[in-house]
Amino acid sequence: MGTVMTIHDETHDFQGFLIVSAALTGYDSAELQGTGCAKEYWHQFRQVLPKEILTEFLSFAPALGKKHEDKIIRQSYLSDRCLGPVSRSLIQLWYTGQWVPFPQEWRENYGASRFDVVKIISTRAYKEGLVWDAIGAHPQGAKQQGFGAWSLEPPKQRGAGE
Amino acid sequence: MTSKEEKLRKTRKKLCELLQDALMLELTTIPPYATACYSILEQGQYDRSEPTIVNAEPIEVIRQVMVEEMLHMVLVANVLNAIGGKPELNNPDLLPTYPGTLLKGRGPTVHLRRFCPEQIKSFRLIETAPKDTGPAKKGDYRTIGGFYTFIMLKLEEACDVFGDDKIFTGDAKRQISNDDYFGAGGEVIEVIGTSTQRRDAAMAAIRKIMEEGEGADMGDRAGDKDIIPGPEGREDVAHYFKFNEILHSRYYHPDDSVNEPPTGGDLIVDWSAVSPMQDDPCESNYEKAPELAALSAEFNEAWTGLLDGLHIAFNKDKSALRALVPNMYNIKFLAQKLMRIPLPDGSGETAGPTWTYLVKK
Repeated sequence: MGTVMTIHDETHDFQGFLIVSAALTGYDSAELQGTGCAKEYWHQFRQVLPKEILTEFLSFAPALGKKHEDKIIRQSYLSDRCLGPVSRSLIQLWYTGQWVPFPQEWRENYGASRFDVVKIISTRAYKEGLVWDAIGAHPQGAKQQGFGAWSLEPPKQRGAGE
Repeated sequence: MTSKEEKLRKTRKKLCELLQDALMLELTTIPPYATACYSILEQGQYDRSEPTIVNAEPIEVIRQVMVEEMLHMVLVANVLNAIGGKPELNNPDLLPTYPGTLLKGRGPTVHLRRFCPEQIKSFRLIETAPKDTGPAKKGDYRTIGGFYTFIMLKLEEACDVFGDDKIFTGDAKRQISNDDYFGAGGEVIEVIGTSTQRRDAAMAAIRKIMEEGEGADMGDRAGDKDIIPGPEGREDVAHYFKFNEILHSRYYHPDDSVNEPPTGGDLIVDWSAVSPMQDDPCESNYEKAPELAALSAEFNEAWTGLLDGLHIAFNKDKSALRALVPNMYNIKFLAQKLMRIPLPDGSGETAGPTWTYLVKK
């Protein structure tokens, strides 16, 4: 019974992680899972954050995707002394596949983690960074677009004109 | 119209229909092969710091088959254009859907499935040579090889009855050459020249398709006489044997007998390093997941663009072929993306591409 609860809670937390990530990055949760990196980012995220901060970070998830999403993102995440740097590292993680460590001030206030070091999470993480899609390019050295792609117009920006 | 002219008209129409069916037949095999190929996880599951490509060898084996199917499409289109037909690539009434049967119900059923032994066995079945071409020559074909045997027979018959010049009436400008084609899977055969030369070229094109496919009439050898480009200059084997290599985790030696298992070097296969894609993905699975439906639509737009582009290349402007290369890469990346996204039903299976042609409204 206890095991079942843990699995359920973890799934729930992972879903929350995806919801918050979607709100912060501007990519929906299917797109985020389409990178194939969601599980390893979630692993990294849990490793660097103390449990209570992780809980707080995920606590706004149910309110996202609704009317006040923008306000929540600005006030509860980006402007928050604790969650702000966490959010920024997470955004950079999704966009570049790289974990960017928290500022020194954050560590002094909330504790340091031995996992909070700069690193590319995996070879796939580099290839699947959202930045490449966002700028209509491909990662250097991977996912080549094929012969003649340079003569084509860049793909239309998602959401352009909406 | 005299009765002979009427007979010629009917014969030409029948030949065009057969070759159009052949074109769709080649096309039908590509989505299942591509889906299985793209479901293989390239990397990221065992390695963190040391990149290795898991299943690099089966990926390459399937890819080689796939690009040869593309070449076969070009060859069939050349023959069809040579006899004055119009290759149709974007007619939704003719395009394949999955699961579906080959040869209008006479051949095996094909599914869209992830890379797994059952699927590779079904690929092997698709590429199986007919034991006896006797029934096929009478029109009772059940295999791809049997079907082409029948087409060759009908084409020869028509040429003998009406004369090569009455059959090969197509516009030479429509012939795809090696300059137009990207060179994947081998050399294109152009059906050009005098009507006799065209007849010979058409027969050579169809024979090439048969040899590369199920390896019929190869004199008990697995090799198909094509040399795989590369430092070793290894002789290629027919598709049937390529799929058998994956199932046996062992490469063929070109001189291996077709009736014996392969005896060449090791081919490493890891059946577990595969996306758990649902069998035969369909749009109805995405009805309750609008984000997935959007990605599926994006994939189908790319697929539709590819088919429309091929139609233009075969009927109007050959140079359209080149511009399709980036499109094909896009299809691959979108398919891989879909296959990483779990379905909302909690089954643990992932979404996958449906390969649906989107009809313009």
